[in-house]
Amino acid sequence: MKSSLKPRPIIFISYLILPFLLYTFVVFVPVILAAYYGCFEWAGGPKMKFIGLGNYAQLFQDKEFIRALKNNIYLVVVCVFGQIGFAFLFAMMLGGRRIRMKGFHRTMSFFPSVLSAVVVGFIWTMIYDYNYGLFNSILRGIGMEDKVQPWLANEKLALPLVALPLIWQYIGYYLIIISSGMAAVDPQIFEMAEIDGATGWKKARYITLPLVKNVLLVCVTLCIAGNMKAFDHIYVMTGGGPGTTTNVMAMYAYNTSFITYKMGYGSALSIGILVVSLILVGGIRGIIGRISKEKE
Amino acid sequence: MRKRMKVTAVLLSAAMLTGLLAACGSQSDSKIEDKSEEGTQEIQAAGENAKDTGDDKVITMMHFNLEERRDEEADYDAFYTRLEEYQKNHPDVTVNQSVMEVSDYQTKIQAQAAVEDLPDVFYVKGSWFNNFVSGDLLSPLDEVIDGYEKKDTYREGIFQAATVNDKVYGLPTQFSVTSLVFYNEKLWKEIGYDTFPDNWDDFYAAVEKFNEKGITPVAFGNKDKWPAESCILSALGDRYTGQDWTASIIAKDGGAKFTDPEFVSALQHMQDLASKEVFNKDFSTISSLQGIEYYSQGKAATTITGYWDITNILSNATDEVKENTRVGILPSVEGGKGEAAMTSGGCGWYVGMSNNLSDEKKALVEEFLLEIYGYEYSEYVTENYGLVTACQTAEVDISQFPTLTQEYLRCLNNVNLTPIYDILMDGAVIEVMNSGLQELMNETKDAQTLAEEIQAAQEELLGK
Repeated sequence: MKSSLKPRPIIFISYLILPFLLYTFVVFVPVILAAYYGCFEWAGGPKMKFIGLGNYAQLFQDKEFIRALKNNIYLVVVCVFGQIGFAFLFAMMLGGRRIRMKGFHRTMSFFPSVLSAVVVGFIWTMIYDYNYGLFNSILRGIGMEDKVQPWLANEKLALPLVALPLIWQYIGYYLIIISSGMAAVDPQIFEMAEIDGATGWKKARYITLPLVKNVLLVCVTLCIAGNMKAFDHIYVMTGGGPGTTTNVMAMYAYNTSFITYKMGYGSALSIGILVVSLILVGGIRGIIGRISKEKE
Repeated sequence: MRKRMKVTAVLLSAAMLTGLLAACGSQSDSKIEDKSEEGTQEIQAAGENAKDTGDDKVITMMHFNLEERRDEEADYDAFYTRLEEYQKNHPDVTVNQSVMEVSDYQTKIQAQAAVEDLPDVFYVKGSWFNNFVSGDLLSPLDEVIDGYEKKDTYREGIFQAATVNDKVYGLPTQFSVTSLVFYNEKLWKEIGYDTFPDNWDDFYAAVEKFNEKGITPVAFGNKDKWPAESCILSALGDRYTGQDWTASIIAKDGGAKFTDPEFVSALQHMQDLASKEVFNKDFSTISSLQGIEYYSQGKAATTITGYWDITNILSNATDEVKENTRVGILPSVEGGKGEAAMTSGGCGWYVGMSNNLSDEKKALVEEFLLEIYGYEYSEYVTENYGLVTACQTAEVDISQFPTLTQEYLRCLNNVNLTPIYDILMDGAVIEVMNSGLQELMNETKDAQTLAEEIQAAQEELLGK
């Protein structure tokens, strides 16, 4: 009985060995190599000068890196609330009884997350376009000519404007995850709550939210990890511009390695991204875990 | 609890899988790769009979001359024509090519250089030579050039960017002029100008008139950050600083500084261009090509770009624009140290030979390089496209070419060339300059601050 349910270790290992090797090869080895290369002053080629932790020390004084980090954190904050917040809201609505064609809504809202980031970037570049863009056409249409401008050139608005497509694209993705989390909850609980008079906001706050807390935690983790490595949308839409206003860490690491040929410092940068992301994800999970424990 | 764990586990693994798939997906350009591989196979097949003789002569090569764009690019066409000729003369040699789009090429060759896995022959950008040579990746070509019977036809200074410590490491593949003014003569005449102004006061007066009429004075696109530096500042900077300054910066001898008042004035001038509404309002959010499109449609009176857009304008502009387009250079600067009849130009891309070859292989590759990129390459471009090339070729009758090409040649006759910044200055310096120019022209940074930032990047190099 026991043996039929739990496979022997050798079978266990032999099933796992291939994916494990693959994962090691494409993830762990490059990370370790990057950490190693980060200790060199290296422009590519055989000439490498060992400088110990010099590159890593430089990270903390690099204004461009700090700026890119700030931009990433901005994106994380905006996207956690924008993507997961809206996704939760929509999941609640889809869970309600009055909505028809739920399958259709789910499919349609998931649709943007299937698109390539480059395509989404181009679509939104066209929406923001000065001459033919949707934004400016609407403004002209409602007589607000004075507000018409090349949107992505506005250094104060550029970052929120590039964040918008990111939020838009991934609402559906989190919607599916949260919906499935809600579906796993016994429907009787919701019915009981409604009989007891918990509707709308109260039902969401005191019944649904605590029950899908773990799913939300997964979503937040994914969202932070995703936005710490944001690259393609921004690369297509602004290329980090105007100037370096919308520069993000991944783009800075890319430019450092392949445009300015500082391969060593570029490697150190990518290790920096990894460490900052781990701290952020770990920190947020810790905080959320502690808050929820205190309540219990 | 167990169930919850399971849900979490499934979700996480799903996310990981998506991540993996996304990673695979992003290795795009498979289309181009496919094509190039087809090309490779074709050429391999051509050299098949070589195997019979028992000789194993293979040359590997990486470049960005896409065969599907052969009709649009004079240099690409010249390359394939020369290669076909070479194959005919050397059926025993197999040329294995790896071809991709130019921006992909730049990333890929840099990555390959980093791990010292380079093909025998590859294209090298002017600003890369210092790095590649100090990395011992390129083989010097002085002896090859000295032994070449037509070496005297190469234009003076064409090897400048490819020269490191008095040795030449590359053969030129093009002759590039990066700062040219294309203007619509008819539109300029309508506001009372017979030719493009030769001083900035007249120019700004014209800008005001155009703006009043609702015509964009100069169509320009700087989203990709390099056009402002390569197409405008390279020429405008020289007007202020003169060539000695540029030479000193390139040599990194510490003599000239980016914070010198002349260069700061040039930067200030760049900002003035933006604040005086010389360009279309969205210039920093559209690409260079989109900018040229405004001009081609007749919506703008002028555009500032390099020689490469001649073919673009010829194939995309309306007939009226095509007929009325004249070519000039930027107006001169009063009191500047540079000469007036100057614009930025030279060779941007060279072809180099890997240093990691046996002597026998070297001889084969050297012969290959001369046969492809020698005098005949230039001759082909001149005879078929009328363009100026790396070698001084025999005179051709220019009247057979489109008006625009004739205009270009006429303009070049009266102009001398000054170095292109991004071809000769270090990549790290150029990156700071390009990004900074975008902010400068967006009026979020002032000229003095930018000059200090560029100088800081330059000093970091001097310290090494």
